[in-house]
Amino acid sequence: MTTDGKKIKIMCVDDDEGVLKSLERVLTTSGYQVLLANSGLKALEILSKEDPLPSILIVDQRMPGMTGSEFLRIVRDKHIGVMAIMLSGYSDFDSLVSAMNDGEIFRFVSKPWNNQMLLEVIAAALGKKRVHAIAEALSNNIKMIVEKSQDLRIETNFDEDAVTVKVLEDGKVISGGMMTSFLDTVFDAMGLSHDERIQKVSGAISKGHGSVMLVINVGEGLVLKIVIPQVKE
Amino acid sequence: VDDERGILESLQRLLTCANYKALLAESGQEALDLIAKEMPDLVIVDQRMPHMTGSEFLRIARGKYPKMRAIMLSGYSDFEGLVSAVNEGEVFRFISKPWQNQLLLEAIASAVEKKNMDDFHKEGGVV
Repeated sequence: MTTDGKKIKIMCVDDDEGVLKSLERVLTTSGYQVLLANSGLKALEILSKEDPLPSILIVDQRMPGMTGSEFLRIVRDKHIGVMAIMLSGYSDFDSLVSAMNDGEIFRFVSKPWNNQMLLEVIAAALGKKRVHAIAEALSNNIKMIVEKSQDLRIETNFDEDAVTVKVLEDGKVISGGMMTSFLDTVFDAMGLSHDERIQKVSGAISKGHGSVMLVINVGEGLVLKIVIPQVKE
Repeated sequence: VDDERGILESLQRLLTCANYKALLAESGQEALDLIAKEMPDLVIVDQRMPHMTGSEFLRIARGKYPKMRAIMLSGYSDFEGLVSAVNEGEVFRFISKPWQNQLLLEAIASAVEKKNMDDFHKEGGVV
């Protein structure tokens, strides 16, 4: 399990050394790099030094000192984009509510866990994170290239399934030529060939609210929405 | 989505006052039919309903609309239901009934904040 030749990092947080050892075995065998922490505090300390950060956190709920939810709340407040899986042997309703609401956990897995199931949950979390990373990279890339090469201001935004690029009018007159050149720049940023451009754009355009929107499927479950002012020729 | 009409009406009042458009459904099935016609940005769903629980509804809805966000509103402390709401329904927030309006509105705001650029309504046809 690698990205760019490097192993994907997973951090396990549990006060039970036996659980940490078991997780380390199964995850290492599956090709992940594993970091272990026996408390929330220890885990925060590792996170503050680790570069790059782990992609996934597997966290126990009931730990002395700091619960799994409390730990995840701190992690979330630091805006570390990491997916969390809670592993717990207790069926405690309020803890799970707090893990959901404060920790924004991706999945809850009961102890004792099934290794195969845990690996599938990890794969699903990595898939989601990958799409998010692609959306972020595409959004940043387009913004950077357009701002460098065009006399236009744009706003970019992304979420799980869409990257939105909106051309801001700023009271200026935007010509058809500017728009064509803008779209060429965006398509260059996406690495699309001439034929691919025609194929992707045909049928993807809709009008409304004085704007034109192109919705282009960029694969991996992502769409690129380009919102441009309607040009009056 | 709630089988209690009174709850739906309270939610409608609150959401309409906060400038949201509220669609109401009294069962999971009715909600699935409604979603097929009007894709909402967010679903607020009760867990305990006859015929189809909130988690079951979310599992089906999630299969068809994987990006839909959901808030679960429930008066019961059913652990297994909540596990399935997290794992299958990918619920964004769980809020206990009776709820605090302010807390619910905050949860809604954080659920839809990333969707705020999606306010482009299709008016014309496909070119």
